[in-house]
Amino acid sequence: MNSLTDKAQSGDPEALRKLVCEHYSQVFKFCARRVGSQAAADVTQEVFLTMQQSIKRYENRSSFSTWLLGIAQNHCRNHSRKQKNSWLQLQNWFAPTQPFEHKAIASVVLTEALGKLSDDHREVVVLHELDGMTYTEIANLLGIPEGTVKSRLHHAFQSLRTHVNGGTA
Amino acid sequence: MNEMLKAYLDNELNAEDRAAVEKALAENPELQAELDELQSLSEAIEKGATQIQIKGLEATLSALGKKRNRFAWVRSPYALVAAMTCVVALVMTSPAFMTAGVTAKNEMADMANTASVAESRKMDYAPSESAADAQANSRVKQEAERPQISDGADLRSESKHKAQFGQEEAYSTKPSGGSTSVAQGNPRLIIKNGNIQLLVKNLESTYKSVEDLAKANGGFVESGDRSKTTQSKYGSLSIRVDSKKFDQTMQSLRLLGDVQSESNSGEDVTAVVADAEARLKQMRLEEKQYQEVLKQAKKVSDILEVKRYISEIRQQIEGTEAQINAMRGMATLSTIYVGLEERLQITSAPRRDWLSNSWIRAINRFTGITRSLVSFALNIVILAPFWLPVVIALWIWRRRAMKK
Repeated sequence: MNSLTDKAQSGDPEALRKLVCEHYSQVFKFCARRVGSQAAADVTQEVFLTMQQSIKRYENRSSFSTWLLGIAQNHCRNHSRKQKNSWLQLQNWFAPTQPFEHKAIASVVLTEALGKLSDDHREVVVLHELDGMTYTEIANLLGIPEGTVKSRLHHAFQSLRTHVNGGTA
Repeated sequence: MNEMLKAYLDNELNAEDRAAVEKALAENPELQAELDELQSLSEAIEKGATQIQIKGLEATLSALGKKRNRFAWVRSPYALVAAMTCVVALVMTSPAFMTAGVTAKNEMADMANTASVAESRKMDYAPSESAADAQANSRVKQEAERPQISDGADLRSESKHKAQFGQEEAYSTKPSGGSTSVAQGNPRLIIKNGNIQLLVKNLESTYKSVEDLAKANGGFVESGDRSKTTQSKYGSLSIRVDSKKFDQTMQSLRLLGDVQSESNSGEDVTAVVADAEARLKQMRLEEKQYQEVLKQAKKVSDILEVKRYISEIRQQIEGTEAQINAMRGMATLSTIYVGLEERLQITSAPRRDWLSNSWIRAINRFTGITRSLVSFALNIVILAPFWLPVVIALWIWRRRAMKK
């Protein structure tokens, strides 16, 4: 992985191509959850163009994918701001195709509970549960301590539990 | 301890904290219940997550490749071979070479003969080799691209589809040993669904072709929509076609463009329908018996009671009949979701140097300030009825004060 990044940094076009292929799916999904699947292709392309221009500035301080998702995060925020959309709209990342019931959790109730989460809590929930990032990666991406990530996730899930259990938890 | 539960579930605790949580979990069943709830929530979020279909990889690669492709041919060994061939051809066809002595011509003729023999020998093998290479290349390309661009859910649905269609094959080759009438005599009822994503040259004409195809195969367009971004035009249709023509329709759809992804699924509802039919038969028998009882009943209360039973069972019969008809309808008409994409010419903005950027920014600022000033002046003029009387009153008052 590192050698591929090094080669791409030294200007090897084939390594850059492989790097794009390797991370495209992850970045596309990341963008689609933030700006919607229609605009995701455009935003993802901008992300990789920025990556190409600034790959020489990547310093191995965090993993490459975290660095790349940092670029994606900035592009998605700019896009949302331009479109005057609220950040992490629920329908972009949580839309059960059919109503379901999973271990006594109804999709309707869960949708309602997720909609009531604060922006900070929603952000960590999406990053961890859907983007599959670890606490350290989330902390690096958002520029907050790891303990804060842990605490936000705990409070987000407590809030969801309370809502799903009808305010009894 | 509760605060560490989520981190424990996510495997984000150190060994010491982990041991402490495990100990507490063993002692406290409420904590265990909370852990189960947290896990259920995580699973439910994952289950309800929006399904995302990856697209635009090729467009991104081509946008990135513009710079790198400039001198890429220099590195290619094929380019070197082609260049050498050109040089040799030029030398051989040059006038100086052609006007050489007879000996040289004879040698050239010999060489040409040898070359043509060699070429004809090559020709015998070349087509099969090139075809095999092309096949191998395309297979390698497909294998290489599949894990990168396919979604996990797609893979799951593909395996599910394989399992289901495996079942179908087993059913078709071996007679079923079911005890119900449907399973024994009638054909199996399979609800088939298909999904195909196509890259097309012209979205409008292909959209129309898909509509025509649905009608030609005994079906109709259930829903459809079109959209456009800066890079592509998108169209999606949900079509219903006669399930007997499902495979034929899918084959026709494949010819309409370059297939990006494709999936099928089938649900065998034969057993469900057979059960419903058996229940229906039983209920009709019961209804008949109640009718007999009704004929013999003499008391008004008995008649009313039996009529109530008949009414209840009639409702159940009608409900079951509707359920059977709905399933038969779904099995008769298969649903195919068709996604269409037409890629537009990618035009990237030219890169500008700092001077051009500064110039453009300065012009933008100038325009912005001018607009603000004009807007301010217009506001002053329009709002004159409010401020002008005040100013005039002040002016008159001041003038009078001066006179005094």
